[in-house]
Amino acid sequence: MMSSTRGIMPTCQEMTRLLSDAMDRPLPFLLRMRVYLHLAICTFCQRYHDQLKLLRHMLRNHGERLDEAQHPAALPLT
Amino acid sequence: MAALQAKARFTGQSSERTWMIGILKHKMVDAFRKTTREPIQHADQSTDESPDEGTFVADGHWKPGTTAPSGWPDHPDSLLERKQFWEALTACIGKLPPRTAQVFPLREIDEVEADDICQRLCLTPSNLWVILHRARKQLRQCLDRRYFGQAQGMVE
Repeated sequence: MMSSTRGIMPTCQEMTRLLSDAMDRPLPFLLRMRVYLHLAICTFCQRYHDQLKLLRHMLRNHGERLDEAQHPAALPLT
Repeated sequence: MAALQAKARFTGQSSERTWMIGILKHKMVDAFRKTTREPIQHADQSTDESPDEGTFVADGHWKPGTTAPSGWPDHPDSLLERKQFWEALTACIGKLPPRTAQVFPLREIDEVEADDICQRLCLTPSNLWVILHRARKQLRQCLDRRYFGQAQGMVE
């Protein structure tokens, strides 16, 4: 796991990982609070967050618009 | 755990203590091998992307200008009908490294739960999180360059 324990707030670099992680698992309460704190004051990370959410929204709700031929989800599971 | 599983094979030729220590030694060797092997397995995920290099300054903040996230249009739904956006997104997904290209669509298009993906593809959760993080980061950056950078350029 990354070292996100230094300082009160995670760095922007740590934020990119944490914002992604939060889409796949619930972050521990204190960590979540520190992420919110950082988001409240950092425009770049707000944008990063919004853009990850936009990506998810587009793919999950309108994924059929991707070119079917190049749709990599068709790969067989191993 | 391993000791319980293998209890049937324990013949009693040695004391239980030596037997357990033997298991522990082998487990430690396994764990060590695993950690030394992992960077090689991950090599394919980071071939065309040396993680984070050039994106952040030394103290972990965004490097101003070049790679710090720029603003995207306010109304995501206006993107829906833009053919160019979907072409760019398709191209960007096509550029993901093989393992990532296998994992990312499962999570974000087929909406499989993270736990299920781990089971189906024999990944540890932290492995999966790293793959998804890199995929999102790469896609965001790729779209920024291929679509939004261009679109903003046309407006200005």
